[in-house]
Amino acid sequence: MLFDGLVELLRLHGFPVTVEHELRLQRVLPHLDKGCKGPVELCDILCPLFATTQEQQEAFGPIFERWLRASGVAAIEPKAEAETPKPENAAQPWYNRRRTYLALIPVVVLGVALSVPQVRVRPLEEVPKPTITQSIQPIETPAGRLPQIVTTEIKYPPPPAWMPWWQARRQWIYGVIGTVLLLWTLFEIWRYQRRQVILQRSREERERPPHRLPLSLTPQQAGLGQDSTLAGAARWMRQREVTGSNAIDIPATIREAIKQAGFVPAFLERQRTREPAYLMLIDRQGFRDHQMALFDEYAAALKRRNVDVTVLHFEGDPRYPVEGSWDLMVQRHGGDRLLLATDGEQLRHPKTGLLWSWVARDFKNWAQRALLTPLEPERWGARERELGTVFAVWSAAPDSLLTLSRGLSGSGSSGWRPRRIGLHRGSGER
Amino acid sequence: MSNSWLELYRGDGVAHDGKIQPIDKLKDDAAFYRASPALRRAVNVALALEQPLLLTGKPGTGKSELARSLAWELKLPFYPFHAKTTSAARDLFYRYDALAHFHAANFGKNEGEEPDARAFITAEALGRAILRTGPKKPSKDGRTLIDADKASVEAYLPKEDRGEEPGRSVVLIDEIDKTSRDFPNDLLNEVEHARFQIQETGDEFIADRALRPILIITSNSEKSLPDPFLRRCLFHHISPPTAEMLREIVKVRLGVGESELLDHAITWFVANRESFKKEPSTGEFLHWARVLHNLQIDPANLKAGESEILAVSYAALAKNEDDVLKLIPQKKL
Repeated sequence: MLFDGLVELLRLHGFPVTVEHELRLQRVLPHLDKGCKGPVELCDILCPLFATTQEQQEAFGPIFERWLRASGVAAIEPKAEAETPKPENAAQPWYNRRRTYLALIPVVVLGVALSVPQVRVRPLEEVPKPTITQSIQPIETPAGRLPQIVTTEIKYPPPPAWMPWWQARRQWIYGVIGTVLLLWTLFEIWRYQRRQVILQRSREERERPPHRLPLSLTPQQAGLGQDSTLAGAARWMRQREVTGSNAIDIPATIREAIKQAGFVPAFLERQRTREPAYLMLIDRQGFRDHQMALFDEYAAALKRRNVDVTVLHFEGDPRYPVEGSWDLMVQRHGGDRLLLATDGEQLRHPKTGLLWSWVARDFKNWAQRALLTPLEPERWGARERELGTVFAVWSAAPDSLLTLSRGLSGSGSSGWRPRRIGLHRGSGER
Repeated sequence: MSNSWLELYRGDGVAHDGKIQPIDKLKDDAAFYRASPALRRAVNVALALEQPLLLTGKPGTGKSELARSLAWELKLPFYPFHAKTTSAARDLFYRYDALAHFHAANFGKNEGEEPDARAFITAEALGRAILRTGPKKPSKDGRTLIDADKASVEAYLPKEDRGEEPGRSVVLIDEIDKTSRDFPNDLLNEVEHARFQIQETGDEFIADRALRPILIITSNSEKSLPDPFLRRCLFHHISPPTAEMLREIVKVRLGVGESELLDHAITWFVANRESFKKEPSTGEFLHWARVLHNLQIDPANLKAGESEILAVSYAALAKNEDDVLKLIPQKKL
């Protein structure tokens, strides 16, 4: 029951937890007490049960830690530390201890105690006053003698017998206390500033910020999950494609040999086929970009229908994908079918409106390439016409995907060829 | 510790009696493999659940070596299968020599007698491992499992495996992401139940439940694997080793004790490896460490004339022009 929370939390973070995963967990749990020494080890043991990618493995640790804290199992944390004991003197820096703060209280109390009797209890006439003497010497000028104060002398009388030493030296004591408090205040300011810097760095390093609130909202689905048109498109997109190599077709050869009464003139060959792979390059204007979210959902819906789609994002210029590099992308996905999900504005010169020269050159790596634009065909114009010289331009709607994917099978790959697009025709076709 | 090996090939066209003597040999036996605590735990969970373990990580992080090390430690036979772009699921279980069979049927010694198809079938990695378990086969009505005939099992096994006692073995499917998507998709049932069928003869074998093969699968993450396949595997991503782990690896693989120069090399490598365009693997670092150790060059305390040799040693780490220029800026000139 304790681990239900963890499973729920993992589901919330997008882990595909199935009955299989829960069964694995139930099989492992009874044996945990036989060697699991602490949360770190428990995390290492449970992670392979649920994670299926590197990203999920990296996310599992923080999720596990959150669950551990929320479920009040944090008490077993010292056991984990016992595995790698820390040196005794490295427990906590001195300025973090509560004792330091407690030690400041007597200092403040002492200061108050010194000042209060001085002001209130002792009568004013009993307090010795310093004697101030001023010597006045005349100055000779052509106009005559002018009086001028030359020196001022202040003499402090010796403390009276009734005055204790701490009152007699109160200026010094005030000075010391004031200095301590001032230094402490400065230190606290410095520490606060330093903490801000550390927090800033940890945010930059994408560590989990300590102030993150455990809020989660279910994103609103675009309703692609049940779309029958998209399901049809996915079915067409899974259609096997012919590779460039051949293999000996033994059953066909034997059939031919039977027809020829046992004589085999030549081995028959068949073309190898494979399941097509798709690379979806999605333009990302920001993390709250709705257009990107729509394309991401398209990709997820296709993946759910077993279409082999790899999703990469870019910000404006597709030559700089967020995940990895262009070279790596070409190397890994050069043979895939390319779906470029963007409005294509960044692919053309802002003044001339013509495509940048690198667009045609670099995208030649993909023989089958299509551009999915969020604009409906009614709003297509010169930009789409220009994009149509390099890409097969389609609007990002299930209907278009279906038409595009139908073009892949049977009648060849016409749907992926660059298309001539007329201006303001509304249909996207000339 | 001399650098005479740097003078072996002179490049002047003059023949001489040079003898190639490799510098201190790297210990690459399975016994010298060291796994991180997290990887160790992932392997143990996979063993306890009897499920395949899918390992990902950058090249050179020791994914394939782990399987060898596991077989070594558990004293089990090791059957690697190195996947290729043209590999099909059947290749993992057996190889059928159709041409030899055809030839034997037409031009064999005993004319008119049909040759035994089993003679042209050889079990491959996972097929071999399943056959080594003393496998079962479905009964005629398909409702129960019965022991497979020992003779029919051994007919498929290579000679060296015949007559061995039933037992477990470790199977490595190396770089599964090189194959087409059909490969993992066609393995779902076979991986889950450790069973396979030989289409040419119709024989079907299912591994003995108690002796199911240990399956280690590696991937360089070049392609994503289908979800149904991932669901049947446990997963672990091997991260590059920490400085502490690297010290241990260097100590074991190079067979050296405490060494200040290697410490400096490790510190530098760990601090800088991510700045390379192509991040050097642990294996590449080990080669670099071998050179430094052999020549006794401390990268943190270079003596006169050592900087040139250090620059030469970077060949073990830098594998493209950008990285070379980064390490040896004067090369630009």
